[in-house]
Amino acid sequence: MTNNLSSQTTRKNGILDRLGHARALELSQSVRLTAADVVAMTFAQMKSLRTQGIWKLILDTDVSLDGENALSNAEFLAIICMLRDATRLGLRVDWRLGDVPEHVLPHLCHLTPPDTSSSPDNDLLSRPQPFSFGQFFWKKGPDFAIVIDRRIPGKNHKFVISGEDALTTFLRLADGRPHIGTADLDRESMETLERAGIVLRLGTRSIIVPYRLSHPPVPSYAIENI
Amino acid sequence: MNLEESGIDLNILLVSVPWQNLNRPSLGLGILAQMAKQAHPSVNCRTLYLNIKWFEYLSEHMDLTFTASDYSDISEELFDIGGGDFVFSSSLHKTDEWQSSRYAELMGDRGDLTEKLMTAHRLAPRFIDEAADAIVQMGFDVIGLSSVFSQNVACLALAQALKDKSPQIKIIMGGANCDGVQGTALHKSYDFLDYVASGEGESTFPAFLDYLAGNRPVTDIPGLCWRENGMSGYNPPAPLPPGSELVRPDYDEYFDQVEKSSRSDIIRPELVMESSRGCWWGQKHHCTFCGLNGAGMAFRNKDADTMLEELIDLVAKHQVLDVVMADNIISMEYFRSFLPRLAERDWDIRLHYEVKANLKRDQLALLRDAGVNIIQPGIESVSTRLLGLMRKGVSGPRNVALLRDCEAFDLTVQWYLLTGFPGETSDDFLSFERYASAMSHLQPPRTALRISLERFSPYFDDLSLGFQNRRHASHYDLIYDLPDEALTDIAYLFDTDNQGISDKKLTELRDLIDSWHKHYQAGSRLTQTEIDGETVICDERAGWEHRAYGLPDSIHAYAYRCLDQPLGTDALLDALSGHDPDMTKESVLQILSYFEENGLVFCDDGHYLALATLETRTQKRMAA
Repeated sequence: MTNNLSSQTTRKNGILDRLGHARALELSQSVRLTAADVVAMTFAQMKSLRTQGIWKLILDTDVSLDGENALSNAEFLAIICMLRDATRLGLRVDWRLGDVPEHVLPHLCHLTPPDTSSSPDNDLLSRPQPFSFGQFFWKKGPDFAIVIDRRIPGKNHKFVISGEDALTTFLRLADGRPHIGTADLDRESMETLERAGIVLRLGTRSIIVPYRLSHPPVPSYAIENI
Repeated sequence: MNLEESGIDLNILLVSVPWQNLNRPSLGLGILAQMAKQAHPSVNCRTLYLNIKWFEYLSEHMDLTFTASDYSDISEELFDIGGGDFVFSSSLHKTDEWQSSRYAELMGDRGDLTEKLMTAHRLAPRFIDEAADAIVQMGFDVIGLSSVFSQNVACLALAQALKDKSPQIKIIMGGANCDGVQGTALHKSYDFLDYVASGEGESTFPAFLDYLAGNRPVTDIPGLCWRENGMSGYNPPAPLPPGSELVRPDYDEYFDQVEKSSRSDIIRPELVMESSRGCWWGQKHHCTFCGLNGAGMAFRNKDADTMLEELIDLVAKHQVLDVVMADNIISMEYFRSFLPRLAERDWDIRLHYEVKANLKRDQLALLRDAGVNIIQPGIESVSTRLLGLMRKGVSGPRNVALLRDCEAFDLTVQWYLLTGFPGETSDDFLSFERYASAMSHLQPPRTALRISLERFSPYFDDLSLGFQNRRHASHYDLIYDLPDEALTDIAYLFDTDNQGISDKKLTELRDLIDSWHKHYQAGSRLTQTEIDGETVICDERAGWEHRAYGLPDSIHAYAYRCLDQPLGTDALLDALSGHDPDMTKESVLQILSYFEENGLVFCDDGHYLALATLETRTQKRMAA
């Protein structure tokens, strides 16, 4: 854990409410995060949370790009990276969706869903199907990467990314944190990835939208071959 | 091989007939294709995935209602009653309605799969006829047909049609369905088969090419059935090739044909590779019911360097990360060589391996780290007595420990509950029935099955083991038109008197498994966590009260840790006495009784095992 993150337990934990046992408070560890925490957090730190037995993150801020509580592009993209990597690691996240431009919503619908308990309408309205693991992910192989996009029911788009320029660009963008600028990226590859909805760019920052699928959850065959 | 000296060009077509898995290239043909390439440039060897064409054909003629799932159901789920073979019997016997009504009766109620199978049965003659026309036009001199599992009759039908249209074409058939007496029986029964090859191809195929080039007599080709002047001959097989001589497959044509297929949108290619052949456990203790290895039981594995290089090459070449290992059992040497080196790679590969069930936690962790996602450990039962009858070399609680630890390591386990063993009684399933609900957080068996009597198994070879009365399975009578003697030699599956539990009991077990599936899919979890030195149980199993609680005291906690491995009461008393000298057998029984009441242990044959997993897992929730 870094200094600017604090580990704590919470009574809001759904399991604990059901379990209703005092000792369970200790069992179910969660971490509360501010937008600043998320901006500072690395993937390695997230992974270490998982190995420490923490299975839930609580985001202290609405995820908005418009309105009074709008996040900066840097904060917004860092949070999307966090949601993406939490989905990959199987970490639950309590988060609330605020005002987000319509064109951005399709980039979020494969991620661990936002909390709708306080506002049932506060879901990703453009979600084409209920959330399940394995809708939009990528995998790394020797000298190539494969992106699978099954966000639209019945569709199975497969993108193979190979060739030095394209792969380098993809892996740089997939490197955990929002990527700043495009000087070190191949322009043509970048445009292709954006058109395919694999990259989300806001201002000068860009991220890879699908999560990496390193080890599928049990049962593994719940996720179709690629 | 001296093809260069002979100056002869050989045009060979290898054909993968239905019902080869659509998502997988044929390992056998991939190996032959590679060997042909290595033989000499004058050998023009191509591979045709006729199974993909067949799927396209059925899709087209059934208005796309014939799905990939229907294909695999006929190929795999109906294997025990020869569903895939029956489909092509209409072509073999040149009549669209061959045994249709009797076979429909045999199938029973299987929903619209029966109708689809019967439609395929009616379409098969025309498909084979058109396929044979197309192949003849390609101008190949030799056609090689591979037959494993449900491919026998499709091979025979195609061979017959090819010979009808072009008698000069030479036809050779091989594969596991041609092992031993099966191969000679096929050769004797069907004179349109010029040659039948038995056993592994590493020696036979190059020698056969050499023979075709005129450089070797036919009598010098190991494992080959041949004809000459109306005479049928059979050459003894060659010794099994060592692991160092196992050839890497060439799958170029499979991937090329998938890409060009009109159904490429629903074919999901996987690589099929082999790191070994044979079974090191079967060499020592052949499981009584298993006939999978035929005459090739001797275990041989490729060295780790070779295997890693093959894997890297094929994964990189075809850009496919799903890999099924065809091995019957992983080499234990690979836990020291191949797997650690694979784990070092930063790849997201998905491997499927068959393993022995008594793997330890560190071995399971290594499998996971190396990219193994699915294992097939041959669990078969949770009864130590039944596992003894099977010669599995593992106890019931040890099998449950594997399920528990796989849950913690995100390893998917494929297993069936097997029944129908000579000497089996209902009592052998008491532990399963008693503890199924307590195990609802572990991966359930796919279903319960009565074992089949398989050729090459000890039950088949040794009548004293209990299956005295046997006859080739009845579906062979509906598929082939051969005398009993020939069918008995061709058959792989045999009907026998039912042994062990009744059909009613089997149904009850299946119902119990259905319930287990529902509970597991509902996200059941049972975990143990150490908090400030105290063992805390978090119980979220379907059908159990959801709660988290600490074990009553340190001796309970210590006992539970001891039961991480199966222990009898005496051994547990010994272990606990070191912790508390005042322990008695009665106090041990009280502790075990507490665990039993809370569904925290499994017990069979007097040995107890802790059921709670060590790690909290959240991914299962995500997947659910």
